Amino acid sequence: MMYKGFFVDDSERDKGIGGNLSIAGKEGMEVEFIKPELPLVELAEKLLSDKPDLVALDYRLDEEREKEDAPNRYKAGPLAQYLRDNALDSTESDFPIILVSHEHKIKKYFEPDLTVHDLFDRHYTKQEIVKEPDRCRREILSLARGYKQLIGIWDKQDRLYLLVGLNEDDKAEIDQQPLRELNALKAPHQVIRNIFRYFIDRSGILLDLNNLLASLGISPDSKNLDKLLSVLNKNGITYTGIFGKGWERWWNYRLHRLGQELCSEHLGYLTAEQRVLCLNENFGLKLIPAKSKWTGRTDAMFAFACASCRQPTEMEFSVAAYEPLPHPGLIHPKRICWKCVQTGEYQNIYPRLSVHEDDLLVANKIEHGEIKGEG
Amino acid sequence: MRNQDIDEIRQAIQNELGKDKLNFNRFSELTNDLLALDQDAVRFSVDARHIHRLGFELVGKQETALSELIKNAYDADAIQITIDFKEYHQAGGGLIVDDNGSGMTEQVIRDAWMRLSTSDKKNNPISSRFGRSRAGRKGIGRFAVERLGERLILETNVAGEIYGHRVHFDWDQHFQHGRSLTHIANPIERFAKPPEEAGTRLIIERLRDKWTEKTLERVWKSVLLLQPPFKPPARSRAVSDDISSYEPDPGFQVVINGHHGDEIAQELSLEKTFLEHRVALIRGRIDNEGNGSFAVQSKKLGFEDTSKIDQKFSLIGKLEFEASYFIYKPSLISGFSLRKAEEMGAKYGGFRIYRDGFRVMPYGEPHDDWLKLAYDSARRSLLIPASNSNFFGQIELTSLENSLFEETISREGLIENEAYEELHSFVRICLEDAAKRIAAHRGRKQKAGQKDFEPKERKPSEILQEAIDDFEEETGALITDEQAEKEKARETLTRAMEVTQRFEEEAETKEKKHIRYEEMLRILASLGISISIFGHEVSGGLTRVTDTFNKLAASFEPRQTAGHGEFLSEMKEGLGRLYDLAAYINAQVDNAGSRNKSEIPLYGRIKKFADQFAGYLKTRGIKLSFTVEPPFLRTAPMHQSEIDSVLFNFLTNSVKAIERAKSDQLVISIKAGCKDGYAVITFQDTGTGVPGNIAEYIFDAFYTTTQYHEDEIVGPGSGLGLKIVSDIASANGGFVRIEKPEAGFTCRFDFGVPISDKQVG
Repeated sequence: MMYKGFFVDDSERDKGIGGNLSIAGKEGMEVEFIKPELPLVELAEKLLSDKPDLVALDYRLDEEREKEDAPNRYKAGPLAQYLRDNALDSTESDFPIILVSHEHKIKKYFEPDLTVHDLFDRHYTKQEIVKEPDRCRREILSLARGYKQLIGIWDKQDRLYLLVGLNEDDKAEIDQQPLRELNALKAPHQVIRNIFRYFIDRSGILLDLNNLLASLGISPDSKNLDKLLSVLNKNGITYTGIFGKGWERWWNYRLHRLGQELCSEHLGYLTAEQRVLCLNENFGLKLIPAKSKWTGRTDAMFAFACASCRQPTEMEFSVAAYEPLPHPGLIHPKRICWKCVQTGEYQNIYPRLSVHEDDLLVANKIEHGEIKGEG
Repeated sequence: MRNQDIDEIRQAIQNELGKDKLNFNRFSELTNDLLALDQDAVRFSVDARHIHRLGFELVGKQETALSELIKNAYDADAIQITIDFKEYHQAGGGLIVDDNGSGMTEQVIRDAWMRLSTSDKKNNPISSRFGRSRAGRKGIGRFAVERLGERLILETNVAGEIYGHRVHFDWDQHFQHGRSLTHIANPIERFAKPPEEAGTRLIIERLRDKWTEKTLERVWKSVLLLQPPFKPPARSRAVSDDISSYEPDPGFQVVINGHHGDEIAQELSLEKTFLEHRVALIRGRIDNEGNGSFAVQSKKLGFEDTSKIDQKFSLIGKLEFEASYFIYKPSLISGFSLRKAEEMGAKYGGFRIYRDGFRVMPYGEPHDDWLKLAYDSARRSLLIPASNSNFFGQIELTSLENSLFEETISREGLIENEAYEELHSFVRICLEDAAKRIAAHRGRKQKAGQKDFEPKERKPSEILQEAIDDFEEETGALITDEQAEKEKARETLTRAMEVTQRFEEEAETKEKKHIRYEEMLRILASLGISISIFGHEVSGGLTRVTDTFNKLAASFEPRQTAGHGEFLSEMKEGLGRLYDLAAYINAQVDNAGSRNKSEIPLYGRIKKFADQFAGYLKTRGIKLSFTVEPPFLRTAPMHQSEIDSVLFNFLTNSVKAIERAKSDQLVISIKAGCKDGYAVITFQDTGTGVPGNIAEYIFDAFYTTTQYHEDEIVGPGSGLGLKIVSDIASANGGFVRIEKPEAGFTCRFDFGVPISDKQVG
């Protein structure tokens, strides 16, 4: 189907940027530009009446006003709130709302003390829409599609399991209680938000590419990655559930089950060298083992990708990152490799990372040279 | 036995009474002997040496004794007292105190001078002629002279008599223990004199103490308030025949003029000791045509000014006046008691009017405010010191030159005609405007409504001078045996003053240098605010342009030519470069907002810096490499933006130098390491280098080596980059210097700041 979207921005000059969100083709999306020339409620009602498949909002809708008494005296938040409240009344009316704005405004908007950012499914800077249009289009199309999928099976009992494509084996590996609670949420956008939080945006049930490589002990510089991914796909490791086309993910426990089968050992007990050797032998690949940033050696037992540098990292050479929001056991907590702690690189990351207070003692020793790396 | 004694004494008295020439001393002795035999009563007797004891105990110091004699002369309605010393630099010298007061008759000598604890001054608290309140203490005069010298010749005469009287006293010879005070006969003689003469002269011989210049100065200051800072008029006249009224007081002049052999000691005068402390001398003048003007001269402030007055004064006549202007602040009255100066101001301050040599009352009296200076000062429409007490002025009118002025019949002021009004206006304008000019020069607020006022801080040396003055004031009146201690304290204060003044001179020199630097920093700081907005706006604009470009490029694709491709590629590169710069600006603005100091991990910071400028350098073909060893190297707490600023300034300088060099090697190297407790960033490049002859200036503000050339991409330098780097180093206890570059490089800067004190190894 052809999806219909709207991009609301007070600046006519950014019309073209919003147009980048349009995707041609039968399964594409047409994004229409709208200036906020109506009062908030009227604009919201107009949008709702058009039954959009996606609404993209610029953060500041009140900056460019053609006359003193122009009605656009509101920002994206209140408009998004109105649109969301409508969905509570009618499930079918729910649709993705994304924030599209210039970089510094996005950053300001997502400061931790602001509470309204849960209103938006995703946010994109205008810069990344211009620089990476294909990725952005892929993602928002997937987003719109995902909403439709969810709404389509909303009344089904195990809708979450259906959406993500969990089978009975999967259920045995995953903690069910949090998933059952997700299943009980009242509006599609609430479920979507949690799918992103627990499946897409954080490693745990699924892995992103960096964490996949870390789990397999593979250097990101390896040349045969496409082949590897293809093999994994064939083996059912690739996530094909909701949002799977927008965001490439792989099943964590399925990966480890495969690894166990191939290497006769849980991957976690094998060094990177051993894991890569196993993969290369089994699949005829020429993968390179990752080197530990801390030891410089390939005999490391990598467990995840560092939240700072995204490189394969061992548990023993990492510290926990502080996270303000609690999370269930579904999600792997963020960790920072010792190297990033030592060099201070983790302080350059946005959103900001800080070391959990439980690991501050270790972090201090690393920062001041009491604990030194070998690499 | 007793009766026999009485009879013998009675007989002796009768014998004495029978003589032609009475022996008063013998009578005195016989009388005392007789009284001693009185069995019904006892009587006090006074030891002659009691005079000496009272002299030292009641009077004390030598300068106090002399001050009392001066005050006695004042109380005797003297207009002038002259004090002449001879051979006074050692004990044994001589002193003559000569006044033209009312003098004493023989009766007064007997009843007042020769009577201890006389109640004369108590009964007569006001002098008879000028109505002066008694300045001297009661009955101290005779003890004061005994205190000063071993011998006294008292010469005194009153007006209207043809004889004066002279009494001789030899305190040490005659007033000895064991003798009764009343038995000591002090020879008295008469001398002829003109009837109009009056006054008292005290010739004190064999001074007990030596007199120093400081002692004389203290005497002077103790009687200063007796003298108005005005020239006395040529004449004075009685106001009326009313017995209860007094003559106008012409003032009291003290002249102390010591002679030591052929040397003339420094004359102590009112001019020298008081008037020289004036802030300014104001002179007013009206010429024959009625044009008024005034001149202000201040030696203290190094300031002179003259001004013409617009208003015409056609009724006053030709006129000149002088006024001394005082401001009672310690910094402006150094070396003189501020309290005494204020007292002088309160007592004698104001503007007097004389006409034909006579003082016209009440102008300039303490209660008089004919110029309305006190009134306006109280209402705060004048904020500068400009009350009556601040001026000591007088104006002399003559019947010849200023014919339109007339006195009232009661002699209590001038008739307030139009000439008087003009005079009032003229004097007021002169004094007020002069005071305002001085205030402006001193940087004081002149009127309550003045908006452009900036108060100046007092310098440390001014405060120290005040402390020195207070010290002198408090210790100056003391004669202690601990002279050495006092001198030591004075030396310490003097040394402190010298050091303070040297420091202030250096500080003023540095301040001048900093002012220009700070002006430029202020401009740069205000630019920072604009840059924040600029950065975001540029980012937004670039995004739109890039989007349009992408679409344009896409539209070319089906029929793109080689030329198109090249053009599009260059455009894309240019846009990319702009993006990088905008991103850097935004990142810098974000970082600069933080006011917290923290340990800076140099690896992370330099890596981020290198990443941010990678695109910028790539387009220039410049290769940037960096190493940080050890990788955990951290600075002591400092602002993150300071490190960024250092890197940025070094980078921009290197880029300019490399492009000027036009060399094949376009390399920048950043190394960070630890040396001697410092985290040292070594910044090297393959540019033109720094010539040896400018190496010492290169960290100075506004020194730049880049001049604008049309064919260069980079513009001229502000001359502040390395100055800022230097300041950052200094502010953080570090350093920056030019070092010999390693092989392959032509320029090297080392920037060092202390490492974190938690760093190990």
